[in-house]
Amino acid sequence: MLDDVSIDALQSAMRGLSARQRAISDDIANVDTPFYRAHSVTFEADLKRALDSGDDPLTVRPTSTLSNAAAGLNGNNVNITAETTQSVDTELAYQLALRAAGDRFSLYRTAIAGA
Amino acid sequence: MTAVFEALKIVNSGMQLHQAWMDAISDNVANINTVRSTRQAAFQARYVLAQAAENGGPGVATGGGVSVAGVALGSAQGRLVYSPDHPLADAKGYVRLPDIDLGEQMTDMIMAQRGYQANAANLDRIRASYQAALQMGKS
Repeated sequence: MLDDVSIDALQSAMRGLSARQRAISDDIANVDTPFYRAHSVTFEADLKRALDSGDDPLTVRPTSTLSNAAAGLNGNNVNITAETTQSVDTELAYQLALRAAGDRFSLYRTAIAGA
Repeated sequence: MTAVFEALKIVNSGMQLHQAWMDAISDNVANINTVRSTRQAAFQARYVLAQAAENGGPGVATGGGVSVAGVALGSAQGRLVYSPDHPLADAKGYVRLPDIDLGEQMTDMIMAQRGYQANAANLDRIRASYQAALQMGKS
């Protein structure tokens, strides 16, 4: 009864978003590390493809790619402005997904417990 | 093995590194006038070496933060300064001072400070995310 695809999709999205949040944290922690290359996590396209073709969204694995942006004098290519903006964006997206999942759960609660 | 709140661990590593860097710079600046006799090595500035930690989180390699790989030392030679009245002066009247450039240290200090602040700001966002996750299904 509770094998709801939207909850699975949200869980998959939250997994991807939390991986992205870790990648961003890693980039920020390494903002001054020489020869460090920034990385980014993507999962949206794969998740959309899985949902479109009716696959289990939980099989979607986030992928991490190294940035090819030009590096500074110390060989580091972390763009702190972009990272900070993305971090805020990711946090809000994560909270949005949590809210959506929470609302889904309260729908079930209403259905189970009655009005 | 990843921690439950892995992102906090990563943020912590960034703050630790920048803290170590700031400590080293403070020590360098504090010792900028440390006079030694010419028989001794000069005070050597400390430079913190950063290294990215490669262990990733679950599922995808997101990196494991940063660590202090070691400390590089500045010139032991220092610079010789003619100061015949100094109690440590040698027969020719020279003493040894550290070869530390204050401008370089202050620039590094600003970078270390900004790096620390960036990690501290990130800490707030990570905390908010985990906090929200812990509240899921409560209302």
